Amino acid sequence: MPPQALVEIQNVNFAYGNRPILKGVNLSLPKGKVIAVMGGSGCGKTTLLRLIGGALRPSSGQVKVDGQVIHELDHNKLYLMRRKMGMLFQFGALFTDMSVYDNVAFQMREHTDLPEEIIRDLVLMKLHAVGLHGTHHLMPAELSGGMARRVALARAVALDPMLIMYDEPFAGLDPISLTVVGNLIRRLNDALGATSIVVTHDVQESLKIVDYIYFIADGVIVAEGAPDEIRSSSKPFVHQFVHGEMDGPVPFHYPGGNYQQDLGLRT
Amino acid sequence: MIGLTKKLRSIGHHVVDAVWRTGYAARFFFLILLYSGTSFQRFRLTVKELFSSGVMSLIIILVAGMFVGMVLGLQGYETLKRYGSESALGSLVALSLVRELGPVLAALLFASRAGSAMTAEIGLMKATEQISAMEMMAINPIARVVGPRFWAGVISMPLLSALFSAMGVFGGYVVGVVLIGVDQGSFWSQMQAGRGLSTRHTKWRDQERRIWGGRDRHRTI
Repeated sequence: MPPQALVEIQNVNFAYGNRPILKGVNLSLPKGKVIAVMGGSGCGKTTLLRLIGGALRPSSGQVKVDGQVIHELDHNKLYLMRRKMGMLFQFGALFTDMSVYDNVAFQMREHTDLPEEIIRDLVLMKLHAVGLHGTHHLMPAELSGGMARRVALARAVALDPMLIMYDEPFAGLDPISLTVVGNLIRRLNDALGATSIVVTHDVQESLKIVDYIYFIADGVIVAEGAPDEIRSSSKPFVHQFVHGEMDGPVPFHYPGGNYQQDLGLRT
Repeated sequence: MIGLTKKLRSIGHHVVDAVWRTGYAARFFFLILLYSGTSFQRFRLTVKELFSSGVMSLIIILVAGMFVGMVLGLQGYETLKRYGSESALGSLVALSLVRELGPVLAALLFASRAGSAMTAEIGLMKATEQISAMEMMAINPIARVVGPRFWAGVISMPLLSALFSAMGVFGGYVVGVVLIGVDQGSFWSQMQAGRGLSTRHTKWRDQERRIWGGRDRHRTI
């Protein structure tokens, strides 16, 4: 029997207005694993995270987290569920008017009655876990991109969530920060006994740290597998994506009609 | 024909859009009221916003009030002088400020100073996904971000408007009494006799009766 799934996405369709984004996506996140969801820009990866977080409703199908269908929960239950989720946004989304300390302490103060001394210890522990002990007095504007991402990571795991979602955690980082953030994702997941979903298009970095990978293209899952299977996959789309080739199943040219005709050349 | 249809359609579209926006704003307003508990339970949040919207608007409100009062003093004096009733200057300045100009101008200044600052702040939070992050942390952004700012505005606006009027009266005094030389005693006593907001001011009561119908709603007071 496979390990129990924390998140199950069953036949989910979603459209922004008339523009369909997801067309029948099925995937599941087994407990304790780090799962990557990859695909080109604008293919609906972030939408998927928003569906799991309950910020969007699927037009059909269902998203189950911890056995409960997210879009059927009422406001209070949804908020209770979200307390068990942590999310790292693309550029950290740190609160710019608060110090690093206040950012990490934010959820503890809002959701718990812990006394300030305990919150202080917890914040320092979380910051230490991401290697940023001693930065608690800085403001977000004083941090480098990689540091901000790590602070945001500390904030995302502030309440020891069961599910951690990462929206493009590797975007815009230098190689060192990239490795650091990648390793932190793996280590925090294992230390907290959580389940992680990483939405990314950084193939090389994520292949190093994840357990399983889903590829999304044109609104459906086109490929899935463990990192080794993906590396050696012969599927044209996966091959193009993993090796970053310019032309292939994803064409270089936008389907823009007849070029020669538009230039007024005789064909 | 097609052009006309297109035009009609675009008018309809704009109207529907305007109605939709009005409804959206109303809904937003009710949500603020619904979630205003936080603003009072954790009054520190509101106090912080009181500082950044109320206190930070003080300078512009005071300076503008001073200038409006000075202009009223000067122009009012020029007009009243022709009828030999310069002594009524105090009441003119005070009445026009307290009843009309004070609240309106203070509101406009508050909207442009504090309102635009709030818009920029919340807009930045929205653009950098801070609002989404808050929602994902199970914290209602309307309760946590919008509510305290709204109530800070509700609390500080009347105070700012009063300060605007007070500053205006002072400006009128500086121009009228100190610089031009209107009699100090009549300036202040006429102002008090005018009784800025008193309901016993008969001329205003007549006007009100004309507007609201025959019943004299002040009789019971």
